[in-house]
Amino acid sequence: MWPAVRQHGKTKIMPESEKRLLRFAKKNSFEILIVLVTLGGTFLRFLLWDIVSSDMDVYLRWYGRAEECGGIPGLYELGQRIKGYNAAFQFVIALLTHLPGDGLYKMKALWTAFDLLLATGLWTLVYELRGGKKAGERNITAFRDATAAYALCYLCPVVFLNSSAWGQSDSVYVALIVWSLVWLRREKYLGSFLLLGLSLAFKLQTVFILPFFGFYYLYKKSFSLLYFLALPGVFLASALPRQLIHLIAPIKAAASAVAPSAAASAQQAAQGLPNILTVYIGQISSGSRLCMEYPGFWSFLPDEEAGAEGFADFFKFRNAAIVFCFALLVMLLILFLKQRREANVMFLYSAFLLSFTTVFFLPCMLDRYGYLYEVLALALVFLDKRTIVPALSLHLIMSYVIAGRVGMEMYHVPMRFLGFLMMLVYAAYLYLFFAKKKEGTGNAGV
Amino acid sequence: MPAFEKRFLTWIEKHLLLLGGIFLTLLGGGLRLALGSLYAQAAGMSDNSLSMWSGFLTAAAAAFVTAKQQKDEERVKSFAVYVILLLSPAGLFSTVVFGSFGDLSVAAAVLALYFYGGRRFLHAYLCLALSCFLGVQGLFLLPVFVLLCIRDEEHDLFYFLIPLAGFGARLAAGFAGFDLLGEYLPPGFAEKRLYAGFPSFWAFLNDRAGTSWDYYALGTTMVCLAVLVAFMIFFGKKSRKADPLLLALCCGLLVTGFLPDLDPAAASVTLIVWLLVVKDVRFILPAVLLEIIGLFPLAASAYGEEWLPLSIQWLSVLRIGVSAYLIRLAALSRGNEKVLDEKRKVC
Repeated sequence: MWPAVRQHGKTKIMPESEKRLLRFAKKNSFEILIVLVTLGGTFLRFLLWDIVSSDMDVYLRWYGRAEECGGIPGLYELGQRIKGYNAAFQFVIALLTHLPGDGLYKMKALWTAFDLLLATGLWTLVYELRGGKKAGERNITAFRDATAAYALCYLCPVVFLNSSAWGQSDSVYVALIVWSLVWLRREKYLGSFLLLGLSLAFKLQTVFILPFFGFYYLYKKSFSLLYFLALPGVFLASALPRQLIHLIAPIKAAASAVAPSAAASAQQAAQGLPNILTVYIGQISSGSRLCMEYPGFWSFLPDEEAGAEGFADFFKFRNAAIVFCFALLVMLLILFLKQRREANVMFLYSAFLLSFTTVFFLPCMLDRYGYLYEVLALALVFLDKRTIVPALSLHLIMSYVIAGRVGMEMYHVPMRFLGFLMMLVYAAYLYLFFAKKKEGTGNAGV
Repeated sequence: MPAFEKRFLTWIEKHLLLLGGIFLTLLGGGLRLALGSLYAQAAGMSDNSLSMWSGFLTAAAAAFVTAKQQKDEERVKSFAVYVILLLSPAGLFSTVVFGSFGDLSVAAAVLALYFYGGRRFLHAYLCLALSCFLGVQGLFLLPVFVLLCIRDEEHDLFYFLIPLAGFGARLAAGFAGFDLLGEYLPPGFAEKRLYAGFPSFWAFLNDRAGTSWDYYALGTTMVCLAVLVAFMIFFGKKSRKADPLLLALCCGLLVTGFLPDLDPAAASVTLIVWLLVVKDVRFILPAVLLEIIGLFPLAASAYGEEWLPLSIQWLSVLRIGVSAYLIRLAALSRGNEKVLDEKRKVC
């Protein structure tokens, strides 16, 4: 038995201060949960920071080169030595060299910060889609769902394994996309497209959400096609620091006899621009297998390297798969435009299904390319609770795949079987979208 | 948004289905061209130049039948059927890689059912004759017309001579040297094999070559058809609402589930389920499953069974399970609900 507290002749079972604390905890339970999840999730990541995956090894090599080049001032030289990643990413790597500490931890800390930004973005997205903002005062249901989405996002293995164990930077571009979606829904189109452009400047995988933006342009009819120009604009602008540094370098080193002339430097900078633009073309054509570690639709076809002794039909299937995926997207886009659904459900379902379709049906996909729709699946659960089982299945499959990639030796299930399971998950989502919910069983705000 | 852009978007919205249809038809053509050269490799034969384009006719016929059964404002459903059949991966494999006319044969049978519904019997049986001429799938669906004939008692039995003539024409073409007969007599038949690549009930016994198990298979099929006839007479006599498409689906699933020696192209018969999706969205999940189950054996025929995500036996189990679910769904669907309710009251 707990000792009772005697006060003024009355028996009190709990001190007032403790009661106040509990009342505070009860009143702010969601905020406390967010703090606990953030601390727990960060600690979880911290435990995995020592893992150096094969991808992290590459990043560390680039970090070493950035240090050799002198960080930001050597950005142009760094650009000549790093292939396959865009200028924005190189800028971040170079920036990190100016901060104290080990490169491995600095990079992982940065990716973790973007995990937080992503979880916060998802919180905002779910809160607003569930009608939290327009209610005036705090909508408890929306707040609860948003907090749960935040916790799921920050603690789900797909997210924390990616940033902390694998050392990949997918949370960077996905966080920017999620915030771009938040701003798009708020009808702040310029901000939304600038964020999307920034995301594209970091990773080519941003194109997986472009079908949705195309759909939303036709669906909403409230913003101009010209906003899409923000994408190449930001993309090119992200390369400006690198080009500027190269242009001003000879001015700074004018005294040096070996420094190149300003004109020669400008010429070299201009030659560097096509390199920036062709980074992504190189990425697209680098795929040599129809199914590269991602359990996509094409996993039932031979999983062999293209070439004379490998899968001879690779190029035919690759081209056909791209056309097929494009046609499927156009079909879905038209079907979505003809659907009469509640705007918030339509918004999230179409963003999720169009990005899922793009990744699932395109050839040569890598395992982490589904990151965007896997995160959106978590938000969708709170708009349509019927998607709990498919979302759970999706995350189990992808967590298994990613755990295998970060060195946990979990390749016991063949990729083509996982691909088959993913087909079922995809079919389930399609069914849930087109089979409308019965009256009275829906969620609030739907 | 500028006014001209808004006008442009409104115009696109107004003609969305037409523009989308044209665009996707072009993409469908591109897809066929991209895969066209796979044919010689897979089938070891000379030409697929006709069969690879038959997907357009299949999709158009299915869309036509769907459009006729829907209200004008629901045209998007026939558009969906058109595009799904045009882009169907199983359909592409079947028509482009294997040069089969199976899909078109089923589409002709569907058209026949449509004409039958409109009591245009001559048109219906001419379409059925075309179906029998184009592929073995026409024969699979022949029992449906027998059932409808028994149920409705509205036309002469002599109409059945027309599809038989279609079948005869196919046989004649075979004797004349065209390789059309092969589909009726798959290699497994001559070798007394029960399994020839299609995930049917007989995939469990695929090692028993040289036995006469195929006769048991034929016997099982006959039993199933007899059950179907009994079902039809029992319920069909009381109501004329039972959808012929549902009957065709049940018949197709039963025949392909139990007939031996079927090659993977036999899966074409299940394209009927896509036409039912527009009427009842509960069919969508089984439709996708059947599409996937039909696709795997086609790919396995080209690249070997080691690439199958599930063994052919597991695929057979899945297919039988989906077929059972579909038949139950068909029995309980709108057309038959009333009859079943009446039956329950009697009980």
